[in-house]
Amino acid sequence: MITIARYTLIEALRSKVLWLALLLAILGFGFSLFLQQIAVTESRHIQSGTLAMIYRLGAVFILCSFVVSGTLRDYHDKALEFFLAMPMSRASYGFGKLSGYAACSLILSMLLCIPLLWSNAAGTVLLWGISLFLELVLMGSVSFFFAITLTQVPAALAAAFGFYLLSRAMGTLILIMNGPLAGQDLPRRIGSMGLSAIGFLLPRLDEFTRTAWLVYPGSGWHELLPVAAQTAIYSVLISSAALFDFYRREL
Amino acid sequence: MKRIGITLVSALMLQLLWHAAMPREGARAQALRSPPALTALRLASLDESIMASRFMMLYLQSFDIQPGIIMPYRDLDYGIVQKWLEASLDLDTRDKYPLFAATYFYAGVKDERKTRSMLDFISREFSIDPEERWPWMASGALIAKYELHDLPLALEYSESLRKDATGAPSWVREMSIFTLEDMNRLDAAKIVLGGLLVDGRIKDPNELAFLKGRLDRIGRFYGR
Repeated sequence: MITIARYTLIEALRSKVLWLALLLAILGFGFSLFLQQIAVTESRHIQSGTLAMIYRLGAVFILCSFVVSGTLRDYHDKALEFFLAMPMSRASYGFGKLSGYAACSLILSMLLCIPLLWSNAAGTVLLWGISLFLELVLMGSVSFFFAITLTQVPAALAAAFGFYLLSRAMGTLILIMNGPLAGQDLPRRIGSMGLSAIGFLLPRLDEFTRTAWLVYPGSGWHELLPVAAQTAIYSVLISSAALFDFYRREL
Repeated sequence: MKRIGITLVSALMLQLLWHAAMPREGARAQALRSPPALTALRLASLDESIMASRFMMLYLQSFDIQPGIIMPYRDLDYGIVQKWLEASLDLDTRDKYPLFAATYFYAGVKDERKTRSMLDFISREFSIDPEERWPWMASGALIAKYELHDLPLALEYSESLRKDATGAPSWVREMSIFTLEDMNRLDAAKIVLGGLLVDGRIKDPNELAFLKGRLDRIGRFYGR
């Protein structure tokens, strides 16, 4: 398992994931400084908030793309068959890959926290960074699941990003569905129930890596507890689903 | 290989020619439209309401500069401007940008009706959270006295500050005294803007520079 994790981390370095993250860090920082110059007031909030927004989306995009392409490269290039021909269970392979992706998530989050220290206190950045790490771990597991299940890069990437956007926007979607202007007719009520049911199956990503932590410091570490609990629950759920599909698949 | 090279260079030339042949964007003033619905803004920002609020303000602030022209603030439809400011505050009630813009950009136009409507907006928003929003109400009282020359309105605002902003510095709660005094604009600005600058409440470097610049401009106007 450790060997697979190490191999995954080396693969990340060779796929230039770190370079991409560095580029994201530099470009995001430049853009946020530009906005800071335009703002007449709240300039520090605008700079750090923009940076946080760009880094969060960018990090998820980089990680999901790497997980999907890496997992499917093993699958299509028959490297997976080579690994499984060795005395190694499919679960060991899966957990090894997920551990490698988690290590990659840790490096990504640490790297993206550095520019945030320019305008934020270290404690707040640490809180935000840990939450970003947990979000990346969760999204890494989700991407792994879609890669194993769909076995095609475009489909798996679309599913992973769709899942992410839906999870982030679910709170607002439910709000719209239950709003006063939505009416009370039967189709709306069925739609609302359906949306709430989907909401129950999705992780509460709107609670993760909040920009408010950077813009309005004073958030306690206790806010990280539900984030960590959600990551643990959902990572176990989605990894189990991925492994379930992985075991039943003919290679 | 040679043919590919020729195709590449030709395509590049074609692209440059195409771009040069496209008509230039002329100077045209576009009317400000109402802001999107709050839920749409939340959805579009993936629930990043705090940043959606600030991006709205940056958009509104830069709306006066359009391709080829600079549109004065007084030419904007103030009903719609207020909708943008309200939407921004609805997205993030702690955002200071909307009230800052209302006070220093939109209330300062040479159009009494528009200035009054913006002061009404500031006063309404002040009553929602006086302890946090008194700086703009204090500046609003100044505008009422020196721009509108409406002493009763300036006194009304000063009284609201005294009654409601109990946590504000003493000079804010005593504004009705110097509102009644026959002092010139510079001395009053020194008390209000100077008070805000010395207070230590304003930490943003751009805001500090803006307020210092404003105080300097008033000083130059009065030859001091």
